[in-house]
Amino acid sequence: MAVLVSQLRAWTPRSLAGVAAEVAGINDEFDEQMSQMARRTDDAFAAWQGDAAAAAMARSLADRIAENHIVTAVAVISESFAKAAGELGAIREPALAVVDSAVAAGFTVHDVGAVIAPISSTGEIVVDMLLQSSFDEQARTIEARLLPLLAAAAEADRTCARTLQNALGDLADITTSAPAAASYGPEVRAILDGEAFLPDNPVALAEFWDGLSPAEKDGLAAWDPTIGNRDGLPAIDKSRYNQELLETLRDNAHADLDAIEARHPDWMNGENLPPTDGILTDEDSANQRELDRWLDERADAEKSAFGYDEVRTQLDKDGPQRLLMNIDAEGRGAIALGNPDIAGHVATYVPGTSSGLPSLGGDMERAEFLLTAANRLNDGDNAVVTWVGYNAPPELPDAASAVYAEAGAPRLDSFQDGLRAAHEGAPSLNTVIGHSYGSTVIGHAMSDGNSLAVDNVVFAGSPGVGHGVNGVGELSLDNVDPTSNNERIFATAASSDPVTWIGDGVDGIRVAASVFGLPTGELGHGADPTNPSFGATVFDSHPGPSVNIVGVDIGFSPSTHSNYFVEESQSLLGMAQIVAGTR
Amino acid sequence: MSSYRRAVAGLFMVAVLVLGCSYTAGKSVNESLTSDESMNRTLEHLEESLAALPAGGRLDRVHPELPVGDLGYGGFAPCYDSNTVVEGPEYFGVGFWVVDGGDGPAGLKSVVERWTEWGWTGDDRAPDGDRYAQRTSPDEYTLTAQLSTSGYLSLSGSSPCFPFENGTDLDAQGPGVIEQP
Repeated sequence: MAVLVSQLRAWTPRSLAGVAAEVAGINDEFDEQMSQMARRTDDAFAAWQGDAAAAAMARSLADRIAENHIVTAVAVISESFAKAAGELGAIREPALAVVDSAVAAGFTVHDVGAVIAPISSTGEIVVDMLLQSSFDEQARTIEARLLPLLAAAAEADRTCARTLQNALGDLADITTSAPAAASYGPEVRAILDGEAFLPDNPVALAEFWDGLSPAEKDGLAAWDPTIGNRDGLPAIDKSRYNQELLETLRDNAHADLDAIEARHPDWMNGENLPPTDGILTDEDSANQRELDRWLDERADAEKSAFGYDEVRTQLDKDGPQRLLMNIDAEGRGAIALGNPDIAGHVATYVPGTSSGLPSLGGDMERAEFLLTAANRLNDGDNAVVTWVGYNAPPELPDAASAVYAEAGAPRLDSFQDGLRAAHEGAPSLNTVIGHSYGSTVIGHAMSDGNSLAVDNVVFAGSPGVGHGVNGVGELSLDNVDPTSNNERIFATAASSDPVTWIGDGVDGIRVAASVFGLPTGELGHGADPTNPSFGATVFDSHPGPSVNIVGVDIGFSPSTHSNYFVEESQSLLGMAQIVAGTR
Repeated sequence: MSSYRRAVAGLFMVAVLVLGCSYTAGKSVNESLTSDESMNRTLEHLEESLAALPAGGRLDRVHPELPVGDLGYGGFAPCYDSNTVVEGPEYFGVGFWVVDGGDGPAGLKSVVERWTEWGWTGDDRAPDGDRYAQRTSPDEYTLTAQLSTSGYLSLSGSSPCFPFENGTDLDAQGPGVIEQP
């Protein structure tokens, strides 16, 4: 059905445009007010900790999600009005122009669009016949132009009305429907109410998570923004929630840095620094101590902020899919190249001393070269996780201590359990690869009553895999007969890598110490896993350069410790073969 | 273990415990090489290798017949594994599938013959039997050809190391595709 001319004339598209702008303005104001409220709420939560605060924060987050939905829906309504104004105006103006010009020329235009020619009455019969014929023809032409315009106006009217109705309906659904929390099952409600806990065990968590609706998952994520770090969740969900957490951690780290720098804007510019020579007053000394503290704090804050920025940089790189498996406020994290939940072969690379988020770039390159090497062997179906999920020894002297490995081992164990629990389909072939101190972490995770849920283990450039661990029989893999450990545990060492001599070198120190009656305690990290007596399957590494001093080959080079993951190296190929299952 | 190695290990252990130390590059470092040169030269060697294969072939990090076999873009990486080294030497490395021409043992044979014509040398010890070949140029660029378990051919290349200070954009990645010249 077409629109009547009188209806068309009554349309005022400009007023619709005005309504659109007005709605948009109100919406913006609503959004700004809610943002202000959110900021003030955040400030309040920063000074309020505890279960009640956590519950209130969860509610606040849920409200913010709802607010975002409302703002979005109202924005759609505003856009619908604006679009209607444009479309109706585009039809109305040319249609009324046809009507008005016809009427001005003496034609009669009926409300339904019919055009009647004026009557020619010159008194001359022949002239009147000719003119009337012409008028009638013009009337038909005008009508032929007008009727489609009226029909198009009707269609635009219906389309715009439908769009507006849908937009209004969506808003009504959001504002009148029950909140998402009402759809939560009793188990989720109990957790949010503090009457129950999420399963700790990765297998149990994976089963529980699998039964949740998307709204329930989001609700739990609002309740615990660190939920993506829980082992057993699917990699896709872990990455989604962890990336939200990453932004919070980045913001906090940069805010901390800004606050530290703001404490001494003069020192930031190199001004008013306390004197370091001449006669120093007590105040000078106190200022110097404060400067030293401030520089340390600033260095730590810079490192922290850079680390989170580096995670973002790595996630944004092109190439294989990148999933943020872990991220936390302690500067620990893990990124997967490829989806470990669906890959048939999954490797976890554990780097050694000084590893962490700030140096993630180099470790990710090593992981990508390993992934590429494995894919070139078995046509793909691999994923490689760079796991800096433990606090590594900050410096080489710290690497003599086992405390970092002891603390990291249970975290690695849980992470591997999570990979198994979240995996879809047939179990994947899982491998852990430890470089340097990373191998010590792995060793601790599979000795002294511990066991790792992996199929293969690789120790590269290892200083030893745990004090007192002298053979593969003292290591344990889940569901693997220990008598076949030698087929599952691999080791490689460049012949001139002095770090790998440490395991045996400790014996030398012990002998020397005993001569002088010195205590050795739990010195070192156990035997060299490439020693034949250890029983691991040893694969090749390039022997590496040997430093020549004044014409004498000293037989080793400190640099060789660092060649295992170099593209196209024998050791990288060996590791890729183990990961890809082609060895 | 020889008494010499045992003594060195003991001394190294003491050094780690008492002094700490840092590692430098393992691959040879070409002091005059820049990051741009290392990437461009590596890619040129791969492009020239591709010329040894039948017309129509290309190097691609994505193989149309291998839906889960995407390779990385490659890029610059440290010439060392230790994270105790900061701003040490870097090198460029990248790998590609051979697509639309040159697959299989014949393709591998062709590129290795080309590398031999160039005077490049290789360690004849093949870690993966006749499915793998590696050759190195006098200026220490390395190229590798490898057949997958299903017979798909891939090539990779890597450069010598260059000093960190010779790097410009170390976040740069490889091109993804190399067409025949």
